[in-house]
Amino acid sequence: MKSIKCFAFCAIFLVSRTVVAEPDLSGIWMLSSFAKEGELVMTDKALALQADYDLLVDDPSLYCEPASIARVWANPNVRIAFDRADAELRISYEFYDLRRTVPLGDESVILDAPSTVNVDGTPFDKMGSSFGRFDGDRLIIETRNHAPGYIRTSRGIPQSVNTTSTEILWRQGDELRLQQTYFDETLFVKAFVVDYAFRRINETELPLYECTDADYDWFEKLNAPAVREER
Amino acid sequence: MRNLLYGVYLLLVAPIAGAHHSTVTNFTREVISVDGVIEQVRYQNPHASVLIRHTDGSGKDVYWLVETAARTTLERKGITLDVLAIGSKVTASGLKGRRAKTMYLRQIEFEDGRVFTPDAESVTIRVENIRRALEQMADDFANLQIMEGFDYEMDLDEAYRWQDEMVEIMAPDFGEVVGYKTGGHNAGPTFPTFPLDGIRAYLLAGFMREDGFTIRPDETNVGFLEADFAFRVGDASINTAETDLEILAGLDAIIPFAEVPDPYYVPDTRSVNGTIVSNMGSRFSITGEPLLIEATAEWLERINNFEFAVLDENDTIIQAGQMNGWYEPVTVVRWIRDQIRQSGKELVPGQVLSLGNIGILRPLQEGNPRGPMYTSNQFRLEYYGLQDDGPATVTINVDRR
Repeated sequence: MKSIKCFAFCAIFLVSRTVVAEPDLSGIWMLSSFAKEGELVMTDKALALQADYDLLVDDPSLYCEPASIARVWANPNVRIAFDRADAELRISYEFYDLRRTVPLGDESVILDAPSTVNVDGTPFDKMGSSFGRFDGDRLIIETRNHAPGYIRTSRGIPQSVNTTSTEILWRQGDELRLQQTYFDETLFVKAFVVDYAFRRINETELPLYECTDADYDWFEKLNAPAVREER
Repeated sequence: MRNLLYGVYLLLVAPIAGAHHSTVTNFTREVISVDGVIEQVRYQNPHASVLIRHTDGSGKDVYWLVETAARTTLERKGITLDVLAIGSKVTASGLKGRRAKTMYLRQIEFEDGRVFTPDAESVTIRVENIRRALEQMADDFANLQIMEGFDYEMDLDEAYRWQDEMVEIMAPDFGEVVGYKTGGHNAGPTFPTFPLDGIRAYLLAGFMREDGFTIRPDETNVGFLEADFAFRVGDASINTAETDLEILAGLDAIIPFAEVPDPYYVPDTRSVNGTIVSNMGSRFSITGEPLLIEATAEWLERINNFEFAVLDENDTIIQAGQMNGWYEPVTVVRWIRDQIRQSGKELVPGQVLSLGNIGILRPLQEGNPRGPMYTSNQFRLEYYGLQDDGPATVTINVDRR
């Protein structure tokens, strides 16, 4: 009888351990479909910022800079890898060769410095400062200290210094799901949600992206009228 | 007609994924085209692009930037921009950019009518078609069937990559690589189906025959007996050798070498690329006793100046010649060494390097455009002046029964 009780207890214990295991983030991941936006209701301030936005001039991508965390997650055909350590999670994005270090713990572990740098060590404050925790089968990352940027560069949806975001990652079958929620009362009447799905690809390495000449200066100079020297 | 085609494009253009920046917002739905010369090809992130110089009606040069997906995306689809050679005259078509003089690439048409599209399917189809063509050529060659010519447009680098694949296809029938052969280095006109600066191919284990090999004419289709000359690689230092004597130090033997190539195609379908991808139609390679050499000035002198002759079974000289004035053997070794290294490989000790014909060819059958049929029963190649105790030799016997 004792052994039966033990069996039942152990089974429940094992099942519960299985259910609450951290999501398996190993391997290399890639966006499997376009990111899906939830309802977007912007404030007048956000609408004004959007109206001022000129894609051909203001997109930080022109300078090989990430415009926001959302912009980085949403880029297709680039690899993403996770590296779990005791006190931190490192997310490597092939896109712009970004390395994002997320300290694990409560709010007290957040750093003032941006969590994201590129492989040359250049920090990117539009990616904010993050901290995270594993909660059962979910990874939850909270981010603050954003510099003004654009959550969606194609349409100029802005973020501000007041913006915070929560990213929840979990495994659903073979996919890795991510729901990112942006909060900013100055910009959004209600929280702005973006959903992503990633597939694991049969690769083991994250090659260098080596963003080169993202702006068009070199090209526009070719067609610029010759400047005559005035004497 | 062109406007009509563009109208069709407008209806058919599908959303384009994979661009670094939003195609929808950076480019309009209007399809435009521009003609000009390819000035630059940038296979990079975040935008791969082609720079085209267009000369307008007033004679002024205007530059157009034809953008496509990021290098990362193209790589994943197996798409390169290698075919877009600098200096090519082209007409590019694509979605007009919101930025002046830019477009999003739909297709680039060359002057000769070839069309490049950055489309995985079209690339795949081409690759699969070429692979099937090679498999058919290899099968025809192994079974003594006439080969269809190979009419794909490509540069020499790509043709040699397909030659590599051809050798893999041929491996079950002809075995592993045991060396290389080259041709087209002699002074004077070369074969019209050889690249101007020479051609190379592989020697496979299944081609190799020993001295005294007897061939029946029906073992080839349009085979011919060819007097050649070969070295054996002795040391890997040859891969980085610079001077003639250093090259010689990387070789350990001269090999008397005769060959029976069998390059036969549907009439008028033979091409430079076809000759390359078909591995030059190599069929049999016959080797005599290796003659050990030393890296000395004296040996260099012997190698550059030896004489040779082909004799028949009655010791009648069919044709004679001398190396001096034909090609410089060490120079040809250096050429093939550089070619092999450029293709990412190295020469390995033991490999045979056949330097090509030394001016004597004799067809095995009648009706061969290379000349009258060889009617003797022996093709004995003798090299004079390479060793003191008589000529080095290699012999092919012809069985006409």
